[in-house]
Amino acid sequence: MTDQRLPSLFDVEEMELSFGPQHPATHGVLRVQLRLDGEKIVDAKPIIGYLHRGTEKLFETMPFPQCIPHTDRMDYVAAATNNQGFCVAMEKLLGITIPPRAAYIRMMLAELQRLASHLVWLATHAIDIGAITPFFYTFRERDAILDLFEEYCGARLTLNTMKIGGVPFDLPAGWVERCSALVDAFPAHIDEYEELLTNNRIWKKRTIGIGVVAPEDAIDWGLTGPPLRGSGVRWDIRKVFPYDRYDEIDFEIPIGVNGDTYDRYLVRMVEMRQSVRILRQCLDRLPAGPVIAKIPKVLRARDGMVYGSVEAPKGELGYFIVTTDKATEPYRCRVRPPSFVNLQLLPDMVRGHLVADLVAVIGTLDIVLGEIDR
Amino acid sequence: MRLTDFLSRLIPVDLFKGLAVTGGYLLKRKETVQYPEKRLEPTDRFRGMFGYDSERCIDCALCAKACPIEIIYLADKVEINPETKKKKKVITRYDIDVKRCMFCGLCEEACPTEPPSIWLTSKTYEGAVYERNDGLYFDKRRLFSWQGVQAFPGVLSPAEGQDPKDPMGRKPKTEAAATDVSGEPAP
Repeated sequence: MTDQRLPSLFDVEEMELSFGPQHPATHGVLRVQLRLDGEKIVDAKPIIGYLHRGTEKLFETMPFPQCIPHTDRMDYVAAATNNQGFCVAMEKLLGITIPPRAAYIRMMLAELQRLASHLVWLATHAIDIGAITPFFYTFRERDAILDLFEEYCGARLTLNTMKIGGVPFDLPAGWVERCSALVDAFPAHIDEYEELLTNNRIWKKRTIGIGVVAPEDAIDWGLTGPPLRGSGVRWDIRKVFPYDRYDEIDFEIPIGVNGDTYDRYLVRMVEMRQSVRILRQCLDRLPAGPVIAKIPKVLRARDGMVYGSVEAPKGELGYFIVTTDKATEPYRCRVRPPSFVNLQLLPDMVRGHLVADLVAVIGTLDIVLGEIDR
Repeated sequence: MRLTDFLSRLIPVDLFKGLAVTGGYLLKRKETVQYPEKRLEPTDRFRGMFGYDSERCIDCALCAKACPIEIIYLADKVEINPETKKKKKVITRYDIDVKRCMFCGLCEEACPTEPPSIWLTSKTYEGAVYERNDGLYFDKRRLFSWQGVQAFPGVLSPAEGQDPKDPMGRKPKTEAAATDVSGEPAP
């Protein structure tokens, strides 16, 4: 007599699986509620909010300059671009034009931060898929970049390196030479990573055809940054709505063809090379002059609202700030974080793939949970 | 199938290329620094641990106002000199709750004295303690005496003969002349 409780071979039930929040491959505290058929993903539902700190509400309680250290904590691997986003929005609201030297220093810091952020992405993405070696090489270069940050502003991670109206310090002596040496050496390092991964057959098998996003879907869901460009849409805030002095700089926007994980990898690699190109131009043309515009000691806004956005390493980072007349703090500050918007497409990208591919897709979206939950 | 295709499938050339990169680093010098034996020197602007100079401080409380998380606590009282009948503000409490500090440096930026009376550039990063409420709550006395706190770069500390009345922290002229002659009677 057979046991009736045992399921038969061809009648497999769907299984619920909670992936995270303490899983090392979720890049923080993301939890994904999976419905599995064997090892195939039937449905995935990202659950967020484990790192919610109420940053947007916090902005309403403090004067404008004091908000900047708090923006550092949102996307904590790319603090400089967070500062830049807030400052660009505030300058738009207050009608401040920043001096050219300040704009160039800002662009250099932002591009260095883009390199550092992409290096962290490459390291974690590769380590998720199983390639440990790039981690050591990318973190070596990232440390050199963080040394430059430390020399400039005194912090390595949460930088607080920009002010409304410019930048707080001038470049220290010898900084330009050291940055120049790093910029000259960097393309060789990118070649090294590409040697390790681009033609690697394991890497290709794990990434080609995984998490495909059609360009129409990408636009409909509001993807920005490398996930959008990987699908073949040429869209970059630095080009379409230039801020600081990006309109004076010559660079290209790389785009992918197929919109899969491999294309997004290639797009980010070319983006790093373009960042090096921007840095080289900034270093060559660095103008002299003041680094901060003349602004009142206590910033008072007028009645109004503004949306200012920058191209963060992960996509479009925007700040929507509403102010009342003569207020010293925002009435409301809404942040449009790129990771939050990009994460929306996760269920569509992983449906039908295996659980191991979910890890690759989370890695390719390059999410930071501090930014998603804010 | 062509022979080259077949061979490239059979022999993993791409993997060997990656191995060549790692093999190139096999005999090179290590990049890591063995921390307790070797310590890196932070840069001049490194925001590490607090330093405070009560002699330079003018008790304006701008640092407490500039702090985004309000961890600087100030209190003062008015003292009257019995001889000259002059009123003087005296700081009775200057506390920093360092365990909550995020080292943004806004307090140093807000300080109106030159050089700042409160600074973060004391070139130390070893702030680990066993008990955080006890070890990372600095009052006025501890801000001075804490082993990690050093003088603002380029400024003399009071122990080295700084004139308390000079906000720039230069060596007093008379004392400098006195130390120069070092015991010899002046002509």
